[in-house]
Amino acid sequence: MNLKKDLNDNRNDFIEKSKKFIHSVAANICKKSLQWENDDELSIALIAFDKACESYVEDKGNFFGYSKVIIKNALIDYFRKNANNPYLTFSTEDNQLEYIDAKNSMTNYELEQENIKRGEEIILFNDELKKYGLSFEVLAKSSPIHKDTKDRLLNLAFICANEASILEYIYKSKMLPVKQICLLTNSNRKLIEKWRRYILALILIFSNREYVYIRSYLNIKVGENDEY
Amino acid sequence: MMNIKNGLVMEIQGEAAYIMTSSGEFLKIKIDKNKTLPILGGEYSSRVVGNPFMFISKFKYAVSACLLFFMLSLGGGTYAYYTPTSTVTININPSIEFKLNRWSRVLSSHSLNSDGEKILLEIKTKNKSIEDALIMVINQAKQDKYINDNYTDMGKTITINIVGKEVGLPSLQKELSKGNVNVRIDSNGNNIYNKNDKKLNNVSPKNNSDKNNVSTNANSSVNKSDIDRNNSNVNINNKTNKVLDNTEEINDNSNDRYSNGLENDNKKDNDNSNLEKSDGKLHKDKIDNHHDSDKEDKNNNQDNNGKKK
Repeated sequence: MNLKKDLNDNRNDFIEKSKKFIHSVAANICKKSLQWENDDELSIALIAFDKACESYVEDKGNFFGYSKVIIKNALIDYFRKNANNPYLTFSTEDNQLEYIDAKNSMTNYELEQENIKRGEEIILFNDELKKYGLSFEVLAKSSPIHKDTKDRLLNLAFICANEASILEYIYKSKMLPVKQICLLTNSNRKLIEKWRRYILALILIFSNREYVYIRSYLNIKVGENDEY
Repeated sequence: MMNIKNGLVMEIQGEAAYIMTSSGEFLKIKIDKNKTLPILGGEYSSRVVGNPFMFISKFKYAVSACLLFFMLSLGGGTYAYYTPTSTVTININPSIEFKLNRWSRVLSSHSLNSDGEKILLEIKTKNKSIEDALIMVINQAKQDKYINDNYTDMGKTITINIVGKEVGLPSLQKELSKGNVNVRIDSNGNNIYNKNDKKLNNVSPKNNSDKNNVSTNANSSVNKSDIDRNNSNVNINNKTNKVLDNTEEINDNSNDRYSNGLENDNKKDNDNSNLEKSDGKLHKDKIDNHHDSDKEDKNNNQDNNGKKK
């Protein structure tokens, strides 16, 4: 197959050709114009793309779909580990359109493959939620609607997912260390207690490496604090 | 529509599915039977099963505005209802005062004398229309014999006084015109209804034709004239006392004698008045006769005194 040949034997050329794609994916997440010379985000994306080329097997669906997921996750990880992490937001805009475009280029088989992969992840995720006494039914009832709240909780969960001590506590006691989170994120106790289920679910999604597709499905972008 | 959401299907439960949207919301959506069934891990979009609180939060401003308006209008209505705008006083002999609101409903009633108190104890007038209340009072007064044949015969008048906002009493007037009681209704000092005049015009010819009337009318108001007579006696006596210093004893005697005579007169009068009840008599006539008899009395007294002198 042409793609396989490109991936294995002619990767440098292939990456060079795909630079535009990498740039658009990265720019979409970072929400700013990126330059190859200056921005770390692009090099992160480039490395992630290279990894995707390496790890791609055909049953993972469309290659570009897959590589996009990998790039997205790598960037999110980068944000997570970055010292001055930017304010992240859930975006609702232009995601739909982009997704439809990506879908059009996918064959039915590839789409099915992707769905199956995601389905597996979801089943895993559901099982894990059950350990914490959560289910999607509960989550649906205690899920924030207001955009500001959602973004705030996203960042909160993001910071927590980065903190090994908090994750440890969660895995051990199946509860949120509310006090610790308060100290770490400078937020008030009520907010955390009110949305504790949602925060827990987000932390689980971000902290577990296996939920690649679920994570990439969330349309996370860099936003400015005062913009929203 | 607003509440159609698209998201990753996380769980399917009967007719509902739980999705996670790309904007990080977990939602419960209804599965549309016309579309293909959702697959776990696939994308699906459908109407959100709204929780009941969503509905309230959407309309909370409208609802609270409605509630506020409702409460204000209710409060305003109550205030308007309980603000007295006019006062109606009915005076039969029992006197009762009613306070009315702008819709002519009785807010409060209180009696102006002890008879009125008795009447008020027997009827409930609160929140009734003033016409009903007045009719009730009059009927009750009739029942308690405050208004009886004697009352009408003596030409007493029920006076109804309205002060404040004008109150129409059409059905009361209709009701009263059937009866034979004299009624006078004043509104803020202007007479708006007077039944007495009507009756006078209707009955006067009949009166004139009765020759007996002249003599009997005088007797009908005996009680009143008695008092007058006594008064005049005292006056005259006082006068005579001034003139005659040493006639106290004699005067006393004459008074005694006179009062004895009066008693006899009274008995006679009562007999007569019983007889003439059947005749419709006239207030005016009575008063005229009354005056005449007073005059006569005075003359008599003077004569008597003169004789004694």
